[in-house]
Amino acid sequence: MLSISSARKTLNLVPTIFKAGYASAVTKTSNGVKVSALDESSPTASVSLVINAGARFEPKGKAGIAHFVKNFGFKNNGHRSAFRITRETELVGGVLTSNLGRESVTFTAECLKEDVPYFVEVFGDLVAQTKFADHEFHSVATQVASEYHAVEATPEVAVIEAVHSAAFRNGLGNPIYAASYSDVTTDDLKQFAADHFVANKIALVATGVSEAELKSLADTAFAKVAAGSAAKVEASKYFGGDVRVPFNTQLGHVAVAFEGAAAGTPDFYTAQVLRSLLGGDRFVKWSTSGVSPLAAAASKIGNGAQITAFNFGYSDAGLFGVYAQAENNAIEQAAKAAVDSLKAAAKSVSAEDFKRALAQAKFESASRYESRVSATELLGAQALQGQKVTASESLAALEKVQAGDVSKLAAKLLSSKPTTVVVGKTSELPYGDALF
Amino acid sequence: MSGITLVNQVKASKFLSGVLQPVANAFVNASGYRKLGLRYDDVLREETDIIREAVNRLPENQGYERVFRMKTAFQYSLSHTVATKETALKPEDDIRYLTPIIDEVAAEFAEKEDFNNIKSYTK
Repeated sequence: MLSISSARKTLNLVPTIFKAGYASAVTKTSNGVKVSALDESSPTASVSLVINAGARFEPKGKAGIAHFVKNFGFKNNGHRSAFRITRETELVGGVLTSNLGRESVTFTAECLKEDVPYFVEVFGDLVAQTKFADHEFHSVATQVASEYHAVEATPEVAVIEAVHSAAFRNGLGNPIYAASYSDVTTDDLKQFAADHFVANKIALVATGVSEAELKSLADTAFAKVAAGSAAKVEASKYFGGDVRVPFNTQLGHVAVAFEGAAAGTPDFYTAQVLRSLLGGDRFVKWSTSGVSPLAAAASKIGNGAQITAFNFGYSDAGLFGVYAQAENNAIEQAAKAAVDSLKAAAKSVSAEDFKRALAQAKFESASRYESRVSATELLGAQALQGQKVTASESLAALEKVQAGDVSKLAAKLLSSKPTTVVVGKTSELPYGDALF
Repeated sequence: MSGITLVNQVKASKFLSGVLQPVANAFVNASGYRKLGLRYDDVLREETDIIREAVNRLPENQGYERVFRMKTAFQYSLSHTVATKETALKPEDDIRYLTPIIDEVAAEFAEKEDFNNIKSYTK
């Protein structure tokens, strides 16, 4: 229905962004590893290996395997042992991290500029020669379990996971964290790596290094990696629905989400402005009020109530919504206020509000290129899509957004089937249809 | 495992292996572990860090088989008997299933020792 046609529209839109000059094509090595760098003048650098093998690519019956892959990063490989990688990293003053998303798994090294070649080599070995040994599996599984238990106790994560699973069911709806009953063995991991650790599903992203240098390093380090083919994935379909998650938490949590836009599309930039328009963020520490409608509503309720808007963009779909947390007796009022402010935006957006929202969206967009973690995440996601959008290009895309587009988008969001998630003492929390 | 070894040279030379192989076979027979149903890797001294770690890394079924062979040997020992020629472990079954793992663990331990005694230098 609506979801299919809009997904098609999204696909058609991608080339038009190229034409409009908001993005440029990404550099590739001879076997297809995508290379993207942000050459800033800092004494340190970071290199990230982004593999298009996140939770949405998990094969049926192997839920949680991507989480194991994440924790198997930097383990024994044919060239170096895990111990050697750790010690050598310590000796050169580097920091290694692994990160898992719905679309990709990311391994990052932060280091001094002169040590970048070493870490690119480590990444090449990680892709081509990780052993996935049985005796390492036990410690990895323990780590996976402890990470799962940590997030199991976090209501904010439960809300976001439930929103995704209700909105997309499979694919983007797959949980990121491996449940304690997940059935994964080293043989499954070897198979998963054989399927997904191929050059066409890999992007090498760096900050503080020139793209030409990064490409020549990647050419040698990834020479042995099979080219493979780009990730094939079923187009995301938006479903929507109500989910109620019983959870032992003091505050009540309610999220209402709608079908949003894929990252990098004009609608996504409009949604960014709409997100800033609704607001809810605190720009001054400990402040209790703000100009944005959501911040004003939260301060009216008081008692630690928080209402924010979110806008998640993925390669072929997106989610836009509002998230309220408040004491159980006030949560319905908070959630209603959030939905009402979205409805108000669908009617009209005043020029004054639009100006503020646009400025905030621009600041947020540009500052994502400043921090190493968010810049890497951004460049990685773009590179896997075969493009590179610079900070100024994303600002130019935001400049095109008009106040009319924002209210049109809000109306369009409201016309999709809502995804409502409540987390907490469910007997005291409102039902989704009572909020509209 | 360490130690000076000429095994490769002996294997390469037809003359040397022709002379020494029967001696080696006689030695293995005399040592008698096969008559208890054991493999060579079963009788290695287990009370070292390296071998303990290697045994830990055995695949589950191989670990159980190892324990089963040891229990069998223990029964032979209790009953003051040995296996008959037919039931004793055959030379072709005397597989070095633990040795590759021992080599791997030994290399890791040596690497760790090297790093623990490393001298930092400036480039």
